[in-house]
Amino acid sequence: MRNSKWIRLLGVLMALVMVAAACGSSTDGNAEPEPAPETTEDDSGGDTDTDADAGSDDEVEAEEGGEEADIDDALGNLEVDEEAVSCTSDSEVEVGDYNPGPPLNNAISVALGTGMNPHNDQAPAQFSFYNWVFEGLVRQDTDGSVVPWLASCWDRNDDGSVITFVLNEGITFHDGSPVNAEAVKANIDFVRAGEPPQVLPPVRGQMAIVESVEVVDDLTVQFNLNGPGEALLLSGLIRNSGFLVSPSALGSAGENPIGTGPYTVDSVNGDGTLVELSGFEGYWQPQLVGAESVTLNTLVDAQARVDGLNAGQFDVVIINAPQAPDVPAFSTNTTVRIGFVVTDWTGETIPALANRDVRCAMGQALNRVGIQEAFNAPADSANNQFAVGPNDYAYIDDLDVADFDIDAAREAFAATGEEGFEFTNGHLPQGFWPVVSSAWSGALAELGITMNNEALDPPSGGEMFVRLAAGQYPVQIIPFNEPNALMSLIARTGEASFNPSGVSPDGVVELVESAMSQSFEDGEADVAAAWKILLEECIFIIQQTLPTFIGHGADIEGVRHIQGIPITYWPHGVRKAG
Amino acid sequence: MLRNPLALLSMVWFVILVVSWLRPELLATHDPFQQDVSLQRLFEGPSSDHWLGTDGLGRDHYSRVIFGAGFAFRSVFIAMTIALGVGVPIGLFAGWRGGRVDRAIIWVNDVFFSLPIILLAMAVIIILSPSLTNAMIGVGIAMSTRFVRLTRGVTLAEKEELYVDAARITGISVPRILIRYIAPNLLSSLIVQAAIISGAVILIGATLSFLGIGASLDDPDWGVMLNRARPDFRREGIWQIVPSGGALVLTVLSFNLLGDAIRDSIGRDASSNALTVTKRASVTPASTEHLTDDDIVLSVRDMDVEFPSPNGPVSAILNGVSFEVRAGETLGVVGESGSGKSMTMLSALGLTPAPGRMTRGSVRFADEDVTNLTERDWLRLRGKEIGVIFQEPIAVLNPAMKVGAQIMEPLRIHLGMGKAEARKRAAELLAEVRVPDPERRLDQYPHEFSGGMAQRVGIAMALACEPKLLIADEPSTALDVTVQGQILDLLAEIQSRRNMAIILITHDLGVIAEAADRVLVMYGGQVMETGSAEDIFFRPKHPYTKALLDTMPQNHAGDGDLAVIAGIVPQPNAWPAGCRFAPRCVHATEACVSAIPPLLTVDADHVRCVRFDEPGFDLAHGGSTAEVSA
Amino acid sequence: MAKYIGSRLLATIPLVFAVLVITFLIAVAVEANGSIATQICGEGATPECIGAIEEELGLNEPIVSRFFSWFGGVLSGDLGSSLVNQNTSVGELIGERIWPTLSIVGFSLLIGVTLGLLFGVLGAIRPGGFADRSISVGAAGVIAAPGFIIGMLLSWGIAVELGWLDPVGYVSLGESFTGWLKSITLPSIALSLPTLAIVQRQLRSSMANALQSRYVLAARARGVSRPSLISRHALPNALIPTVTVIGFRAAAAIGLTTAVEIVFGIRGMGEMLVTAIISRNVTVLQGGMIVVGLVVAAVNLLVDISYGFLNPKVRLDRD
Repeated sequence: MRNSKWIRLLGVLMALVMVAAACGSSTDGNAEPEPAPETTEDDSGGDTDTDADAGSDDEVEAEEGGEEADIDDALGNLEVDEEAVSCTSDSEVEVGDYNPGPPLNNAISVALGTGMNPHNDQAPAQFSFYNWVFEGLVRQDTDGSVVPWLASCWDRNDDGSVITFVLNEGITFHDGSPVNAEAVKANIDFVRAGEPPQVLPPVRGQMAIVESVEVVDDLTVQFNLNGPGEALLLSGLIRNSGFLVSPSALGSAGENPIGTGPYTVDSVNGDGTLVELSGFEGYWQPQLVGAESVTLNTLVDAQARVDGLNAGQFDVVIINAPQAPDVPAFSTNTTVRIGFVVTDWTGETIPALANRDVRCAMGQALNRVGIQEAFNAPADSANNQFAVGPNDYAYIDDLDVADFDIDAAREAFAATGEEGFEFTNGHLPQGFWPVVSSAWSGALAELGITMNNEALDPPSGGEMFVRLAAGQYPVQIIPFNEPNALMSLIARTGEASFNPSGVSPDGVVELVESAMSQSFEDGEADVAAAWKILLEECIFIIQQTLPTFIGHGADIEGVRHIQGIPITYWPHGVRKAG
Repeated sequence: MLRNPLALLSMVWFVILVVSWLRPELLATHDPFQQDVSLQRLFEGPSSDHWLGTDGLGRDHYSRVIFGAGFAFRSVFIAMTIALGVGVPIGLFAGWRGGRVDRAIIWVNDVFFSLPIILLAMAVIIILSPSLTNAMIGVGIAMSTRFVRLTRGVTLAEKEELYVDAARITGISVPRILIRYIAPNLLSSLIVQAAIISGAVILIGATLSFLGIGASLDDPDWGVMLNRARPDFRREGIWQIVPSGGALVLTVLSFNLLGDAIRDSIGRDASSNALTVTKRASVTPASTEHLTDDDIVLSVRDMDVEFPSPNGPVSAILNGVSFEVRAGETLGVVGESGSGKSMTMLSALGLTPAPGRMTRGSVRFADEDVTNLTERDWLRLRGKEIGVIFQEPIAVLNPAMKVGAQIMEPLRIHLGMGKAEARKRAAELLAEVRVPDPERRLDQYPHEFSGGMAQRVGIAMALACEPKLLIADEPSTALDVTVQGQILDLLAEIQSRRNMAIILITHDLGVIAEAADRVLVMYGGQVMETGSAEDIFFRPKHPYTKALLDTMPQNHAGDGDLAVIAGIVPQPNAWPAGCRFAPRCVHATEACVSAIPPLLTVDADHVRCVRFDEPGFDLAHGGSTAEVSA
Repeated sequence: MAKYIGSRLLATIPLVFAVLVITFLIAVAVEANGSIATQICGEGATPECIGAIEEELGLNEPIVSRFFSWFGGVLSGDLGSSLVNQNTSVGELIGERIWPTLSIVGFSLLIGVTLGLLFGVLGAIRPGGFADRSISVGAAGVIAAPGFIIGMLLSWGIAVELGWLDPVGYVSLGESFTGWLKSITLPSIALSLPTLAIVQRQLRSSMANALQSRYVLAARARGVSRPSLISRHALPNALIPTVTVIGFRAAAAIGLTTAVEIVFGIRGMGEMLVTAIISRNVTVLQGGMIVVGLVVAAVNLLVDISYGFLNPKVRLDRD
């Protein structure tokens, strides 16, 4: 049943997910005067395609070309087309021939730090490795929607507390054992009961809403939840807790990474900077194994990666936004959302922060559009709020918060009569963080507010979280990588850990609780209303939505981002021509 | 030092840096943290209001570079304070105590010394946290090992010096000795080393910042600026790295150049060496004729040798030197240190040390005019026809070559002997000069020889090819009296056997008395008198000769102090205008100081004294009535 | 000579031991600022986890006994496992990463020392000449430029613009000799320049001293020809202090290879160490320092032995 403790628990877990998502990010962005001439984006037409082979090549274009991006669609939204995923509809899995192409060399930015056990590290960086080898019942498509994957469909009962999945036939793990309901149950039970170092608490927490899992028949598995929580369950299943590991390898997945994915692990070098994979002949959609072998090389220096790509040493590399013109082709997906959260909005540490006008002046000083342009991002996505775009259900049309105007901001701040103050913001030393932090620090300096940027030491998301929760940062730049606006809300309100003050403005907590008990669509209005309060109070200052880029050779096809995971792509179907 | 253009430029840059460090606001045009909030003027090249362009956030490069100097200097300051503050006292302590304490300290020091500096800095960073200060603490500790070594080395050496002993005996306390006596000797080396190490410190600091573990990412530290510019400079242009990179390189360079300049100004001038061939300007011919006797082996006429001096006029080291030596004859060359004896011989052989050169004169060896001989042609004479024994017995032996090899060298070069034959001959030569156990000695190194033995080796080398002429420069000065006698006997014996001409340079009149047939007296780069040995001793013509004779203890009559010649030999560029000995001569007159006395010929001999012909002039008795103080 | 080599070898042992002590103390110092156990547990840092790890690693025992058990481990080749990825043994990690670093450092020393000696002799035999002056200034400039800047420019100019060599990556010797050579060329050049310059300066200075010495003058007076004076007389003496300097540069190069590796995308020890520092991976840093210490000790040993060959006083030590 819902209560504040519940919110708090989820908040903790979601927060950790999100924070870990932040720490993997590596886009090292810098400002650029001209916006990029072409931003091609993954375009799934905004549809929530029920077709289980959403991975097929037809739907995806990732070539260079000057296509005008449909931002809203590309930004995606975590929706579920209930009709489409329901098990009453027809769905066919396309099974083609196993025909892998030439080897694929990747250069990525972060090393496989913790082994190939998908349950013990949920940093997005590790997704760069896991998603070649592991898959789940469902997955989040590039537009953000949740689509069936290993499962062919699912249904819910009337009050949404029982979700039943039906598996596709004939899927096997790399070791040949079948993917059946028993296997699914074994996995979920393992995750729910797991302890470090096999299963980390945040991953375990993703399945917290599950009370039990039942095997109905060989291909049908039933999830009994603690209450209506399809959204929460799906949010977990599209991340680490949903990766299915062969039951024989559960508990030793680090050494025996046996999944269902299109590639198997050949070798991992000493520090995870070189991973070699081979195509899996028995993959359940053989035509999607695009390369006979794959290497994942970690090169921390962005320029080195680009140079390698251009010299033909690599086929696909992670690049920074400004380097987009330097590579033969790239795909992009705006997946990283960041904003200010005024954790000390009650003014305990810095009294001035209790004044709404002060907070809103701070927001007005931020040249979000300029930063968007500097990162080759669509400028107006700066105004997406915490939704994913104007078409998202949580988008607030009549939001009353001022746009960037440095002079007005100065005046507004002066008018409050408050003195300039000083605070510290901790940031990760890699990726776009230093630049964004620097830029905002410069902006606030115009108002007489000093933001000191300190690099987190050690530089991990965990560290950021710890310090934030301890109230060390009265105002903090925070990324939002939860699958949707609702999840973000949960993490930051009431007694959630990302709300050190423990208090939220009037009415917010109730709205959140109400939204959680409904399905996505039904809860829309509540979510929007809650965000509106927070945004108009300038407790959350409107964010940037920064794109991440994947560069590749002109002869590579099929590269598509993973929503919310900026530094890798879905390997299915990616191949090198020729 | 100031005339070195590079050093000058470095000083100018240094001054600019210091101003940038202390008062950056005087030089900077913008606030180094001021961003362009409108994000329009990013990655620009140089423009009228941004002299070196802007970076990715619109910040002014020029101003950031100026403020960056402060980071560089602060890091040097921290590191050097630690390095010197820790290194020098430890080094002083270790050097002074010596023995086991010293060995223990040096051992520990060497452990830290061996580790790469960056690694030690990284260790400190991981213990504390990434910051420029912490990095510099690590660097300072690492650098202190260098200063420990330097200080200890100097202290060990200076400790043995007499002045330290004297201080100790007089009861001066150890710290005082260290600080007031030893430290000043240390100072110049320390400064040079400190300048160069400072350059290295700045480089290491910049590298650590570039790696992201030094200064923090918004700071206008040059290393950080390079780190931030790296992903962009290919696309946005070289101006993104020129300001910071250029400032870094120029600063380190100027530290290094300054260190070099200081070292050069206090050290030796390395601008010329044994191989430098001074440009062959023409030599003015001698004004007098060579004698034509058949048995003259070496004849020198009117030789002038000049040295350009660093501050202006040339010094005339030798002036109008003339002499000859015959086969089978020993010519003794006598005079005080600084009289030009050695220089005469070197110049006669074409070995005038650069940048000096012979400007006038004529030299004949046997029947060949060798005045303008090329270096190549000299090779057939030197070592073969002419042998030279130098003053310092061990110093003239190559420390890294076996003695046998060195003796064999002339045999193989000049006489074309094979290895085995040369070795046999070398052993024979050593036996001839009475070196016991010659076979074994051939395989030894110079440092295994005592002074006396080494001098004999030198003689053996000089005599190896049976030269016509042997020039022996103070061949026994470094040796004790008994050995001295043996050496002289040896030379005499060889001379009679081979009819060899010998030029024997010495300031010891006793040696002259024993060995010389004829004598050449030199003072101040000039010949003062020549004559037979007997004439010189019993009938000296020149006051200087007389004065020298007077100083011999044998000639001392009665009680009282031993005679000395008052005054000292002046520096080559401070010769008096007239007779060079006049200031010290008890017989000096007006005429003496007005002009250089000409070399008068007296039968077969010479004398350079205006008073020689003077009637009634008697060297044996005090001055004449008219005495003039010079 | 054998006795000398033997004594040098023996002297190396306490040096290595000292390095071990130092690295251990560093680990202890790091721990004082933040627990290793917390780091290993990472995001699952519950008190139970921390307690369990501390128990397992014996972090609660007295320092001296910890040192000895760690030391024992090191002697048997067990350097522990990475704090960030417990599946990885530090030894394995170093084993992979040491070869690129050694290749680059070795090749850079080869280039730097050879050319440095060459230019040093050139500068000495015509002191003050145009060649000498320009080499001197060039050398001073090169010493002043950090390897990573030179590396960045080389990578840009030669690899990217001219396309002669690959800009990133390392090809191991086992895979292909020419590939290996091509992949280490640019980084080695970037790293070698300061060594070249410093060796040049040292040799020039030592040669100048030797050429001004009395024994060279005496040799000249014996009719030894110019080439012989340079090569047989001056050079062997001049090499003695120069060899010591080469030893220093080798140690320095091992440190400076870090930035060069990162610029060229080479997965060597340098990059490993920097990453270890940033993520506070103490065991990796320890292992790295030990290995570096060993390499440096080996280099010092080589230098001492060469020194012994060159300097008879040292070699014979009969006095």
